[in-house]
Amino acid sequence: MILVLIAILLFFLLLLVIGFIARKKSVDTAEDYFVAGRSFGAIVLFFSLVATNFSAFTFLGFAGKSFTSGFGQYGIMAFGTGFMAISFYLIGRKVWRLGKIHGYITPAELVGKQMNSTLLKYVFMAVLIVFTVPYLATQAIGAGMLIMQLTESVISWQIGAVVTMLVLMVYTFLGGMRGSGWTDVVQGILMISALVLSFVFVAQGLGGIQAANAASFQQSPTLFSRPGLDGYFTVQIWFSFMILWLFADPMFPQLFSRFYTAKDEKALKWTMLCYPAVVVFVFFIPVVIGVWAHVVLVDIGPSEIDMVLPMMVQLFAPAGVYLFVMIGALAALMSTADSQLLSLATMFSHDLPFKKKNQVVKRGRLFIFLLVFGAILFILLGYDPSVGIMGTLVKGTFSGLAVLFPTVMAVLYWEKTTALSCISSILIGEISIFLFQFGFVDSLGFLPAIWGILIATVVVIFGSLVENKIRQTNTS
Amino acid sequence: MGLRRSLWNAFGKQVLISCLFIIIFFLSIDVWNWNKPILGLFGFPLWIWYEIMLTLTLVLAYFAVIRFIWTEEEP
Repeated sequence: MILVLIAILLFFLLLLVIGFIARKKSVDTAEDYFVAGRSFGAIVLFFSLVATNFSAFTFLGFAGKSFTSGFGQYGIMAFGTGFMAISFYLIGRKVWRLGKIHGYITPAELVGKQMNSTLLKYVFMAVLIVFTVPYLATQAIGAGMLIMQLTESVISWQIGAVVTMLVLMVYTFLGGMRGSGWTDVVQGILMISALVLSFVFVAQGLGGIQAANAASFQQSPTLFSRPGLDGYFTVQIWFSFMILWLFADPMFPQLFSRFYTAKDEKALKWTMLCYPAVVVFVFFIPVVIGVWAHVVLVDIGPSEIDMVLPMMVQLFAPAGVYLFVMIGALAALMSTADSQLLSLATMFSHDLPFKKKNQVVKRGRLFIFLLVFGAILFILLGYDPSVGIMGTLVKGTFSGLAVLFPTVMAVLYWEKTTALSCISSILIGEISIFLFQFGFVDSLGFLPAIWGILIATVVVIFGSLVENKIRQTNTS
Repeated sequence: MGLRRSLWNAFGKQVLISCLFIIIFFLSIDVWNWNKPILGLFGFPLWIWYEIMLTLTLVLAYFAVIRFIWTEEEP
């Protein structure tokens, strides 16, 4: 137990030291604190995007989902996420250029200022905040759960969550985007190494890859085909997920903000090129372990499904490896949470109409503190992320953010776009997601997000055309 | 000849590469592999190898984007 606590403390200490070094290298300007002075080269940018995008869901959730559904989980995540990297060209390149020219540092600022509309900026910002805040709180709870599991309930999940939030608050507070990016490199390497180690030990424990597959196939052949063990992967669901990540992922404020941090376009190009090559094997490991779990884990309760990967590693690997893998999972979770925290603090401090424009960094740090304080309050008040309005928001995060994609593309590429059509597109898109999500309208087996994106696209195109036509008529 | 080359440079490459991405995307919706638990290399389902190859094809497609249509501009 002492060894476990020392390992967790050393990991936290390493992150704090990186945050401190990043602070030493920083100057107190908004551009330096919030977007690292637009200085990330290919390696830091790549790991930063990988670690930010791959959360605890990648590490634990994939294994859990493949345990219940089978290998189908791999297809929707690996190809879908690899395909998403085209957004580094479609959106990242334009965002980086505009950021460099106009000094933009937040997504809402770009959209609002390009369209010369403060209202659009606030609507866009509100959607980002509404879907990111609850997600941040769930990351904290996830961290607490991991620490509780690691310490065999000696440390409660509440204390684990609070301590993790305080650690990531300190290094983000100190180092800003530079600290977040540098810790992402460490966390990304840790996460990938932990996954590789998990695969090696579990495969060895089950008598090799071929034997493990044969045993799993004998248990449940439906794990090896679609629609899968629970019939989840219908063609409509498959199509929906294949396209969803392209629309949803770049709209996460923590990913969108990363586009500003690139030193040059070469860094973006290399990141785009390497992305599918990494997801192809990183996503493979948790999915395979989730399927193989059927060989040895028979009585798994619904609450334990997301712990399938750690349970398998605990069964087949030495204690030290298990500890390393759990810290890898913690790293995956923290790298997403710190980026969410920073992007939220950036939006609050930079996009809201404060009078003192020169105190934006100080305000950003204050918001980091307030957001963490809020998350801790949620945790201590017994917040349950799976119920109520917050639970609904967490479940709807991907759909809710994907609706913003048509607006961003229209703002970046189409000069006829109008602010009113963008606002209508976002609002009508979100309403439609709500209607499909709660069954008021039949989604015909597709994810609600697909309809939301389609409707938002139609609204922004036709809205802009109609508004332009009216303007032309009025002028003539 | 000059006009044809200019048109190709302006639109042809974009159209061709867009088509490449559309084809790759629709190939990922491999309905013909549904309900087929045929095992392949190392005992993994054959369609998993297909998805892996398709995802790796994206690296080549991104290389084409970088090589032919992503021109760097100094802001």
